[in-house]
Amino acid sequence: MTKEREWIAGYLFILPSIVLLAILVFYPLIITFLYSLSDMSLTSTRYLGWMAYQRLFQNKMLSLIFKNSVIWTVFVALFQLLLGLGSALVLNKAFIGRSLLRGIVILPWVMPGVVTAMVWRLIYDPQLGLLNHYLKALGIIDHYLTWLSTPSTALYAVIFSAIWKGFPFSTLMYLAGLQGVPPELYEASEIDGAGDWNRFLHVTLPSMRPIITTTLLFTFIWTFNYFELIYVMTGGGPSEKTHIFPTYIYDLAFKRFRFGNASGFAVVDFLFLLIFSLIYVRLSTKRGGLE
Amino acid sequence: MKNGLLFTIILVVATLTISLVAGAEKVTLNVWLMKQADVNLLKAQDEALAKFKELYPDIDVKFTVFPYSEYRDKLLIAAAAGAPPDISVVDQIWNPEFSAAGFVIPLDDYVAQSKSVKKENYFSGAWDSALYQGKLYGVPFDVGVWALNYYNKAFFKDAGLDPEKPPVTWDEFYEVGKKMTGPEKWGTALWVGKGDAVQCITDALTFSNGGSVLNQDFTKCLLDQPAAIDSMKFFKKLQEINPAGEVSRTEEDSFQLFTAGKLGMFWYGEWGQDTVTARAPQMEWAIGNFPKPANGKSVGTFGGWNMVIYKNAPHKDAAWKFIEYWTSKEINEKVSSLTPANVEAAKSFLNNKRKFPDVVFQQLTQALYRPIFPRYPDLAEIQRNATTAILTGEKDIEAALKDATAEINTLLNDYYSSNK
Repeated sequence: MTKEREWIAGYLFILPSIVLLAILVFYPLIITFLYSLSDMSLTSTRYLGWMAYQRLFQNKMLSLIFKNSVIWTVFVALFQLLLGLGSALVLNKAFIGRSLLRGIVILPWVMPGVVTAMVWRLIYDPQLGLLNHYLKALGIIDHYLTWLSTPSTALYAVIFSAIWKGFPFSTLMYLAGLQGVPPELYEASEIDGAGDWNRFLHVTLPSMRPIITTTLLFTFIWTFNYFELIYVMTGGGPSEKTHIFPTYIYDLAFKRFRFGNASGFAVVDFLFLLIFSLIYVRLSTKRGGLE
Repeated sequence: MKNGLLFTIILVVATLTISLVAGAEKVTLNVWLMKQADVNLLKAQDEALAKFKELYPDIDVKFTVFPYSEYRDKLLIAAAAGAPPDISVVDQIWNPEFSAAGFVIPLDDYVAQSKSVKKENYFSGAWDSALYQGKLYGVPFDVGVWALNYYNKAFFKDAGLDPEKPPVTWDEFYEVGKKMTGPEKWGTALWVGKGDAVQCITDALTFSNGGSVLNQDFTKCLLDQPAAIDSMKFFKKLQEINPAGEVSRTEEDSFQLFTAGKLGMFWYGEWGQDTVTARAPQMEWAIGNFPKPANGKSVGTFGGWNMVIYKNAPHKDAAWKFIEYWTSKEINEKVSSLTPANVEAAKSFLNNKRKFPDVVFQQLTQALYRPIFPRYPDLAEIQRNATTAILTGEKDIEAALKDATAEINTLLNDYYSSNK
């Protein structure tokens, strides 16, 4: 085979993937960008050009959605990391019933998102909810609180549910990571006289760094794009205080048919996620992958 | 054998020709309606349709029904794609959007020649809801009014009040509600929900107080005026006689609290009567007028559905015949699940199918329609956000309404400047 024919054969082999990517990824991306330059709706379309972006950045909803998305993502991802790591350390110890507990702990994660959302809505219900019931029984509150309809608590209430829902994934990842830490490192550190804390800090954590980075990055991206929990629990309310990019874009595009405006938000959402994707690509290519 | 084959061919060709000729004469109308669950109503619709086909043997009618939650999406998408039905019902608040987009045609010429479709035969609030820039784009089919004051007589007796004398004014409503409120029971339940229903309540309060959402030609928002501000002050005060959580409750959630016997009073439309009877057969209940300010008038907000003809309909004259028939007194009364928009049909419907027909009829005749603006859903959303901000205390009433007014004015200017 000549060099040229090899070259052609190579491209022929990747052609199907390129065609699929073009149809399923690049076309929607380009079309969304073009829509974002207009105020397209079902009944009328006006081309606005860059004016559309000027309007978008003046839109106070953009800053609100951005702020909500960042608070939501940072809290959920961070606490999933802490909770996941903590529970993994516990489940890594030998004790009776460990296998059972390892099975139970993944339950929130395998539960369908919509079901989780409905259950948490009930838990937070001001009159019927378990949360208010127990808080009152313990004397912590004297009247029923409306967790999901108070602007100052709604976002944190859904964040709490999201942490509960997602942390088992982190647990599983870190548990696998813990089992991969070479035991001889622990033995060596013990001989050197390191205590529990020092062993965790200087042996466990450094060995698990790659897996923590990857898991954290994944949970960041997933959380940023997580839709059904918020949508079912609050629908973005009250006063748009729990809307994040995906829920707001959905409302704009498919409830109000404002495709132009929705595309603008989607482009910003895309750019933000692109940053995380680039970090991921960089990490995975550096030093021969994610180790 | 050969002859037999020839004969068969001739027969087939002849049959095809006859059916093609006959088919060319027969017109089919595609009609989209809302899905109804009531078996009696469906039977009445079938009967009425059969009679129409007897009257007009050359017109065939095909019904397609959708549940409310999907209905608007389906209609808008079909119309935007150029494949709408010939006729459909549209919610009053969608009518301007469909008119402005040119999806539906003005019906003034048909009305001018019609014997039965006349303005005076319909509730004026319903008729006017179909007007857009001076032309009529729909014929009212059925109507409803937000809201009437449903009340549980037991709550009145327990509070030492006369159950035959429901509160008339805002102050009375609040005072009565306060006497009813106790552990696990409340005077009333508010709700904000997710759709555009809560605006019907807040608009009705503003209307009753002599105010309005927009000015007369729908170009300027008036929600920052005293009439609207005072009505929202009253609305917020009702939080004291209401179970917490109204911002995330829907009208249905609150309605369930009423039928579960937790509320003394509840604002809802007349179409809720069957639901109360079905869910709370033991409850002694009655209906009073929507409360009014001391020196105001009890004005409700109109809701309901209009019948429209689409621009793409190939047989508009046949479509008009169907609309004339379907909205006539005799038929309208039978095929409508809400109160018929035809006034005579409504009287008879209310007397036969509703309790307290006089109260309902009076409330209907005094009702006003919501702003006529093609981007009404966006306007309603701004109003709902203001209501949420007021109820949660995020903004004080004046500030919330001032912000909403500014936002609505921007929306109006934006629309009118790009659609002249």
